[in-house]
Amino acid sequence: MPVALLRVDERLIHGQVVVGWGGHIHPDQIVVVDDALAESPWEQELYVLGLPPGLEADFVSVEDARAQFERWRDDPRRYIVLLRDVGSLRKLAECGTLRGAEVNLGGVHHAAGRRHVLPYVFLSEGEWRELEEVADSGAEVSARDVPGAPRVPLGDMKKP
Amino acid sequence: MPPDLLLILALVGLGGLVTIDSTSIGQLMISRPIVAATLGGALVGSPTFGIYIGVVLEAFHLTVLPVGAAKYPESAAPAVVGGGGYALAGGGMAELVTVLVFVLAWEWVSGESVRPLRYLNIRLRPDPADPRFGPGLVQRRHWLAIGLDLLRGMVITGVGLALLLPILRFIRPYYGPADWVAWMAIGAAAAAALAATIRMFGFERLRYFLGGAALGVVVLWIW
Amino acid sequence: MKRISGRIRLALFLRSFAVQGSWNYQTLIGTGFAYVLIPVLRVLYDGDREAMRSALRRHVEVFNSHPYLATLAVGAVARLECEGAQEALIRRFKNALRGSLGSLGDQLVWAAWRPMSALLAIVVLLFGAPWWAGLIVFLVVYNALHLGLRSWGLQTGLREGIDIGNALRSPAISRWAHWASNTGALLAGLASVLAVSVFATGPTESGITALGILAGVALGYRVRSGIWVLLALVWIGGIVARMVV
Repeated sequence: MPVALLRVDERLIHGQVVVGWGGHIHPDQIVVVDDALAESPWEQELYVLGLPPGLEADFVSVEDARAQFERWRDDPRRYIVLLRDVGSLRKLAECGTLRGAEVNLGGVHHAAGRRHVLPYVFLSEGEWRELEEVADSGAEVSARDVPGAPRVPLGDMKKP
Repeated sequence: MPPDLLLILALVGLGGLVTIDSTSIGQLMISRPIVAATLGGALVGSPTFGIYIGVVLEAFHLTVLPVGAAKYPESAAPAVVGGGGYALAGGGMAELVTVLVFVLAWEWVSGESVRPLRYLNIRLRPDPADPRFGPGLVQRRHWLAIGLDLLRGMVITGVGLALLLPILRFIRPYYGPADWVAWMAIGAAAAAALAATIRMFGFERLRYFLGGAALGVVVLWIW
Repeated sequence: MKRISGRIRLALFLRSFAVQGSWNYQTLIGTGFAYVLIPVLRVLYDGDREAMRSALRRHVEVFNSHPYLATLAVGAVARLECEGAQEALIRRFKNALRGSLGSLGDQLVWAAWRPMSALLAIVVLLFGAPWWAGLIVFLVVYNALHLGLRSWGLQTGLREGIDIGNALRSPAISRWAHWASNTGALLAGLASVLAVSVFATGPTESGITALGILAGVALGYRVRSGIWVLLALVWIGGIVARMVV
């Protein structure tokens, strides 16, 4: 399982991921999948500041990620793949890329139109439908903020 | 004899202050058990009893990290309850075990009580659509939230003392003789908690840990 | 560009201590961030109620950070506001910075410096120092870094503005975290051995207590539940023993 964590978290690289999950799964590489960020070096610079020494992050567009996902899965190195929002996840899941993959919802915070699902997950109705699409494409979707916390499967969540 | 009401009120006030230190104002870490329990004991007149509780609780609390919105046990007000309660009881082995078991549970309750406050704070947020929205409203709501956190800490301390003190008063005649077993269990627990921090510092630092342990053995040998 | 006077810097510094005061699950420390910035916004938008409201509106939005390093964001955003930066740029800047400031602070302060300071105080106390010496060691060592970070963060943020990455990329922070973790690991080993010697009364007890060290290393973060169960059993066992005897 070389994609050790595939996570939707709008904060991308931050403490829960680096200290919480990082201490748990010891990744070799972090990949941030985001179309806007892949083209914005100054923002990338700020995002990578929080990485511990020895760990690097790549920024790729969703399309590139879809092309490379198979390779990451077969790579002996351990990957943490981060997405900023459910929309990018849905695009990544097109063509069945995520069949059999485990998707972790880690932090989607409040914004206009989104409603409370879990303390760290707020979703709009559209995003909920997109998540269902991703689940239908064969991915296993669940929420868990940190490794020690209980895992909440999509089926157990209250529809927003 | 019931403890002095003024003393209890002082402990409740201290519990509120250390609670807001942990998140809302300051983070000077007077909210850590090693400080909060000692201050609790000192207020009652016995900082030494306070720090017994404080050191053990601090050791237990070392690996608790406040990462993000995750739930975690909160040490501040429960440590005041523990340090103050233990000092009021005047020490003793049965009391030590009782206080530690109670405070570990109370830290969990205290951590849980953060959640409703953070939900309430959603509703207290200054709303940009509000015609009164401006610096004044932002500041008032911000201070209101801090005041509520202070109140939460005081309630956690007050209720904690109201539960712990009667338990302590009645426990002595019912607690068994084997003080050395309790003492050993607390020692093993403290050693375990201190050693567990190696996982937080990173297991790749095991040689530093072993070096420290060897140093300890040498120092004890010479001593 | 408007200059930020020493008096306003002091106000920002003092307000930064309360940045987490209204933590909520929706905007996290958003309200607090706006609260800290108010003295700067008052200088810039004094007398223009609408401009003030729209500036405040973009700062009560969701934000999070380690509380000490929040001063970096406060300083940099204050500078951007003074330069008249576009709202969209400020928003993207805050989003990009938020995770890094949290992560850097978690690694340096919560996971390294704080446990190291506490372990140092515990070691001092286990060696038999009086209670106040333990407290002073902990509070002074810990807060030296704490107050230093807040003040450095504010000055650096104000000086660098959007180029804050230059200052943060210097390896100083990770070097400190690395050093504190090494020292912490060493103190943890020392403290565990001292704890055994303080609590155990004879050689057999020392052996049994020392097993605690192995259990702790094996359990890691799960050690708390183990401890609670152990102590609860001892407590209940003590009561049962009295009833039986």
